[in-house]
Formats: sequence, structure tokens, C-alpha cells
Amino acid sequence: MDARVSANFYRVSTPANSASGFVDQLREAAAPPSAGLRQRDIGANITVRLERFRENAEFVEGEFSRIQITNIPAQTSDDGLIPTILSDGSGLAHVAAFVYHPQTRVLLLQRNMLSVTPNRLTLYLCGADPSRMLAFSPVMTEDAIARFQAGHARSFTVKFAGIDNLTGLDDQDTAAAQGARMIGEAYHGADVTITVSVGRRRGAMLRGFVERDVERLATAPGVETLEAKLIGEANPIDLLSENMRVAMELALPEHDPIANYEIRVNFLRDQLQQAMQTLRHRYG
Amino acid sequence: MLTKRTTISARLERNYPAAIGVLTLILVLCFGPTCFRFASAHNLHLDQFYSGLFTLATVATGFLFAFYTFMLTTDRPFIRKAKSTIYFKRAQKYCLDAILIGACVCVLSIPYLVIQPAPSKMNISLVCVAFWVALIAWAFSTFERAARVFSAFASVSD
Repeated sequence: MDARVSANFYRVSTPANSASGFVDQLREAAAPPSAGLRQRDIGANITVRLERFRENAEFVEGEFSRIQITNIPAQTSDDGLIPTILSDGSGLAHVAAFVYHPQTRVLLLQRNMLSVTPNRLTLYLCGADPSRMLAFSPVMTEDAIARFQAGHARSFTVKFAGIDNLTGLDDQDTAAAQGARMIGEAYHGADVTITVSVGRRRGAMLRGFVERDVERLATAPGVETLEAKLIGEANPIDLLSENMRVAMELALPEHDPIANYEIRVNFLRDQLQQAMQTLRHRYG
Repeated sequence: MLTKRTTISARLERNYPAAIGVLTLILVLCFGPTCFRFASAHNLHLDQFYSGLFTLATVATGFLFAFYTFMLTTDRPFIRKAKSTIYFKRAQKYCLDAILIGACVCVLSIPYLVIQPAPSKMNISLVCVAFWVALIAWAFSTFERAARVFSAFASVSD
């Protein structure tokens, strides 16, 4: 097993009209006693389930797994590759541990692209109800946030990805020449520059709104780049990549999933606790 | 308002070549004899008129066919994705329409090249000429439409 464990910090937001928060949704997902009953197909043949869930005094923690049941990788041997035979109904578990701090609404989620990403997580938890969808905004690094808060944002540049399925723009009532130009623009995506123009007195007041909007943009679907240009700074702040993350090599036991989980979740909890002073200061 | 505007532009795009053809038919029926009398009085070369229109129709049809083949066989990522949209399918239809009408014009022009009619009054000869000129106007309008729509696709970079 790859012994390097890395994790990203996210701020969790629930929709304004949603009755259930992140912890409520986790409790609901953890309610079925059997692991098999907790798993859900979230679309595109991706199956996710909540493996473990625990509420401590300060934190909520657990582990998700993405279950791979098709295209199982082969095993290696001195003679070459041998097929991996799994028992009926089982699959490979790609796990990602997490620790959540409800007070600041900060989640530290283990980074494993084969496992659960924020997008898969919200699809799993909301089920088929879009009104329950959560937003996971990356938490900016202290350096980036200090630069962002110290300076005055002049403009933001957002690059939205182009769309793959152009047939979604089909409209019988649109002329073909106009439609061709429209799908051409949609194919390339869009660059949007938002210029912030406020006076000195209102600047401080509006900073909170700007930060909130930046968080929303950072989690908007299809956003490829998000940069902020500050007055007096030559280099823009890359708001999508300058995010808080942790990584460390850990001694992980290979044949004991519970012990393996405990080591990872302890590491995540320690890291979240270390960052708590900054996070409390920022999010209260 | 926007929907109404797009509906109008979609209808216009669909029907304007045929409308131009009908308008041309009426104009030739009304002013054709005068034009032919003027040509005859000033010794204008009507044979060049028929020959020129025939050549234009053949060149435009050949050009469109090459354009059509390119768009169907190109491996450009944008065109590959756009092929499934109704706009591309409509552009293909416009192109095929233009090729077929252009081919018809080429074949029907041959008797006119041979006979070179110059009707100076309303008769069956004038009606035939009016239909032929209207067909040519329709063909050039469909050619212009197909070329314009395909240019819109071709101008999108990958």
C-alpha cells in the first residue's frame, strides 16, 4: 500500500433552504447497520459507501470507500500478470478517511483520486435530492489568505471549462449559423473577469462579500482556474491551487483495515487540531 | 422576445432561398421582356449570359461538394463533437440541398445554352426562362446559406 497519506481542507456549506447539515446527512448514511445497505451507486458506475462513522466531543470522523467491481487490476508475479479473482459480490475498496469539525465547518478529507472526492461525497450524501447537495470550498493557505486580506482585490478571473456534450444546446428554434457560433463558444468555455470597484470606506465592509463569492466560485461546477489580482501585487493569487493540504509518510499495516484506518484518521485529527487556531480565527 | 427573434431567424434561414427564387420568378415575368428587348437593341451577348450562369453553377456545385466532403471526413475535435448536434445536421442538409439544386441547374442549363431564348413578350418561352433564372437564384441562395453555415463551423478553432 502507498504509505503516503495526503489530505485537503474544505469548508462545508449547506444550501440555505436545506433542513439537514453535513453531520445530519452523515448520521443518516451511517444508520443502516449492514455495510452493504450503506452503499449507493452515484452514477457513472461509481459505488460509494460510508465504512465508518464516529462522533467525538469535538470532531466527527470516519471513512468512505469507493467500491471497484469492474476492471479489477491484475496481480504481478515473477512470471507476469495474474488475474485477481474476487469472491462474488465483492470489490476493491479505495478508502478515504475524514475528520470534520462542526463548529468551523471544516472537513479534512484524505486525498485519493480513486476514492471519494468532494463531488462524489455530495452525490452520495444527497441521494437523489438536489436540494440536499453540499458545497465543499477549498480552504486557502494562510499565506494566500493573508495576502488576500491585506490587499485590495482589483479583479477576479474565472475560467469555466467548455462543455463536452454539445447536443445539450440543441434548439429547433435557433438558426444553424447562430447555433454553430453558440456551440463554438460553449466548446471553448468562457473567461470571465470580475472587476471589484469600491471606495476605501466600503472596501472593508465588502471584503466579506468578496470572500464569500470567491468561495462559491471555487466550488462552482466547471471552474478551471480562479485567480485574484490585488492592487500593488504583480502576481495574481491562484485561489484554486493555493489551498491548505497536509501530507506525510505513515507506517500503515497492510492486512488490518481497522488499524490502517485508525492510523490515518489519527493523523488527520492531529493535523486538523494543529490548524485549528488558524481555522477558528478565520471561521469562528 | 429573444425566443421570438431566434424563431424568426431560424424560419428565415430555412426559407429565404426559396423566397428569393419566387421573387426572381416574379421579377423576370414582369421585367424579362423589357430586359431582353434592351439586350437585343444594344447588341448584348445573351450567349455569354447563359454560358456565364452555367459556369458559375458548375463551379459552385463542385466547390460545395469538396467542402461537404471535407466537413464529413475531417478529424478536428470540435467538428467531431459538433456532428451530433442539430445545427451540424441542418448544415449538412443545407449543403446537400445546394448540391442537388446546383446539379439540377447544370443539367437544365444545357438546352438554354443551345437555344439561347430571348423572349421579348409574355409567352411560354418567357415562362421557361423565368423558371430557369428563378432556379439559378434559388441555387445561389442555397449555396450562400450552406457556405455561410459551414464557415461558422470551420471558423471555430480547436
